[in-house]
Amino acid sequence: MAQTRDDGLQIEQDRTHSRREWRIERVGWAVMAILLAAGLLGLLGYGPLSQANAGEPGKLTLAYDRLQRASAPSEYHFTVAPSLARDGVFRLRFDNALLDEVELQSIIPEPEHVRAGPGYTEYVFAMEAAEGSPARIQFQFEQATFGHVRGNVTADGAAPLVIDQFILP
Amino acid sequence: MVDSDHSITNAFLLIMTLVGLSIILSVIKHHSKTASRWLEGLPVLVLRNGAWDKEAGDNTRVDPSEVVAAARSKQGLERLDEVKHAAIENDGTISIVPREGS
Repeated sequence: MAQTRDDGLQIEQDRTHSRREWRIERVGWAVMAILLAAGLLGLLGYGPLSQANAGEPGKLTLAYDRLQRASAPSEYHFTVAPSLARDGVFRLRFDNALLDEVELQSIIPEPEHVRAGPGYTEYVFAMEAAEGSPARIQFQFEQATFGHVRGNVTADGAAPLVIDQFILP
Repeated sequence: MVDSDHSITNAFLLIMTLVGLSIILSVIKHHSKTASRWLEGLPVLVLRNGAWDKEAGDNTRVDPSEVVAAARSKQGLERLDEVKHAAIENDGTISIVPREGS
């Protein structure tokens, strides 16, 4: 029960406690502002700072999100020079570390074959070796778990691409 | 919170969890004054003996016009100088104590 004060008001007021609450409230606002700014910049996924590129322009390049959220839609976007095709096909090999915790939604265009190898999975796409504008291959997926994901994607005739992602919970 | 599990069992567990948390918190608040202060907050006097407390007003984002509005609607008062005390209660409402004779 609150004490009756000199001015006759029975109220439990404690300015020291209120000042402490106000300080904590301001810290909370600052944290929220920082998180919001981080979100807008892409530090929580889906923004300019989350986008990453790998590879050699004119041969094989990859655009992906280095910061991503678990269970959120994501993609690996490859740009492939048709000159990398051999015998009418283009082979893209993913380290299994990249695919272990991934739920693949779709691959555009669909691969002709998928082959399992020691530690990797190979996707084989129909592609004619020719000069001209590059081909696009998209892997659309959701990360099933969170944490650090790192692995290589390789293709004949191109330098290995290193994918380094952090998946937020 | 429920992901793709839309079962009645999961809904029941979810509701029981929320209701249970509410009961536990109310018991803690009832037995601990410190917990009650942090979970519920304390009232803050913004007007004491007719004097405006700028620190309290600024920190609770309440200005005299809001106190006058509360005094008008709750006590039928016309002016701020008819208010003796005004406090921001734990639930955010403004309570008014009129001056004697107002």
